[in-house]
Amino acid sequence: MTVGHLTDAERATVARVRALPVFVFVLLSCSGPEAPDVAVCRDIITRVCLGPICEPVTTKLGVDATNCEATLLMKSGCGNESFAFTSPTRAEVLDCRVPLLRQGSSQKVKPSCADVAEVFTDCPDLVRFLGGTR
Amino acid sequence: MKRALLFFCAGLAACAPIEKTVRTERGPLLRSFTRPMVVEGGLRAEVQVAWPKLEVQVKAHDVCRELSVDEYAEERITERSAPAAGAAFSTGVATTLAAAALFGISFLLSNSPDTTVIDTTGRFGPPPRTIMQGWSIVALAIGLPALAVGGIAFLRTGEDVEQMRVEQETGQKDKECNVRSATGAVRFIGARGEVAVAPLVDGAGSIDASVFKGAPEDLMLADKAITLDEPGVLTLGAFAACVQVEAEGARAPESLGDGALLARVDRMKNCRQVRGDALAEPLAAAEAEVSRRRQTGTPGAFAPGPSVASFEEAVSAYAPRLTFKAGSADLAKLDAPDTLNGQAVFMQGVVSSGLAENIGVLQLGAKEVFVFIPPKRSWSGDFGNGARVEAVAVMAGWQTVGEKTLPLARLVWMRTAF
Repeated sequence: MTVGHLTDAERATVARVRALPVFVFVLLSCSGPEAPDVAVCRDIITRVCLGPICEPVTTKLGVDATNCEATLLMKSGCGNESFAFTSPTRAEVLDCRVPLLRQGSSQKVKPSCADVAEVFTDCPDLVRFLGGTR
Repeated sequence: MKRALLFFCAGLAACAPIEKTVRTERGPLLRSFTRPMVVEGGLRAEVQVAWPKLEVQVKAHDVCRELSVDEYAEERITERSAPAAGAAFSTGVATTLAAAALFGISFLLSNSPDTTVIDTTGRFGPPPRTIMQGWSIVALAIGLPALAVGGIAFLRTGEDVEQMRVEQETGQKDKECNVRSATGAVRFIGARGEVAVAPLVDGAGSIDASVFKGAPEDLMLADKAITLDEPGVLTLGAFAACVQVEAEGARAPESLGDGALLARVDRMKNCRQVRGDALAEPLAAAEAEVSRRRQTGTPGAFAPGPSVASFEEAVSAYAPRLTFKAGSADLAKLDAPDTLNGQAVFMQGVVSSGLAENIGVLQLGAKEVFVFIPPKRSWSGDFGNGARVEAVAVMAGWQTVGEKTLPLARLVWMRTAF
């Protein structure tokens, strides 16, 4: 351990480090903890299956309004509480999910069918993950 | 960190403008005293005449001044106020308290994240407690600076009293002092500049009248004027009159024009104050000529002109170039009749009075002239007051009758007109 005086640059660094928690706290007050993969997966399924179901959902995933959420949970494996993304990865899924949030971040807001179609067009891996066809 | 805090405080101070008012209050009279001082004075001279010598004694002096001074106590009060301080401080207190309250209340709220929301980065929504604490930080960020601005403004307000002594001059007394003989040379100044110079020895100088190139009117030492007392002014005036009389020479009074004769009489009378009876004989001769002219006119005045038998013949023979009547442009020339001596003029006016047997006054518009009626005139007629006449005449300078001095015109012919 070295004992001595801090230089001006070091003092400035210490000051910045001390101010960091406040900054982080302010940032964190805008969002909560990271959601687990299973929550992310169920969020996508919930949004896709909000009725009335869009045409790409029925054509590409082969589900209807009566069995949409249960079928997709089963095909994707998200019904299991210990589910974790492998392929596609969590990052890829989050990127593909972005169009579904354009109408609002709440799960009660139904995404537009154009946004759903965009997701299915841009993310074939996600369609395959949900048990659908390309 | 300390430097940043310093800049932050300086910025806050700039946000708290201070109004400064300075007023002065006069206190009681402490004392009254006089302050002696010496200021630049001037020059005084005494003149004496021992004809033909003019002797002058010049003294220089300072002015010793005593200033009366009152000394007062005076307070200069500087008041500093910050009108925005109260509002800023109260806002700061309220917002800071609100921040504290929000922070306290936040612990009553759930710390569980909002699982109904997952954002684009895959995070749940913030817990209600965190949201509340975030708002408390925002409130604190507003409240603390406002509190600081208000506090700094309150610290900077106040009143400074500066006590001092002030002086007020209430009066002054001046008197001449340090009188001493002047050195240098006295310059005698006439109407056209310097007319003579007399060097001073121990403040005294003497100069002969023959040296003067003109009549002296003022005295100067270098470029400083010399003040003469009243007797000195009269003596210098008399000496100047003598210098002029000597310069004119010994012309016979009969050869002088009326204006020149009267001026000479005045100068001789004035000169008599310093030369006594030395001029008694020529003065008497000149006064006798003046008296004679008042009765009979100027001898030879008609000699140059031809004798005429009618008004038309007078106009033809004398060919007057100037016309004096109401509204004529030539009337202004009557202000300097000396320049008109011997000139023939045509006049049209109203007889306003007959002062003597052969002297009358003719009103020509706004001007008046004396008209001299020769004893042996060729025309006839009685021209009483108010008579409107026209005349051909020859100008002859100034004429004084009694207390009245007017231009004099010697009539060649006069008749009733308009």
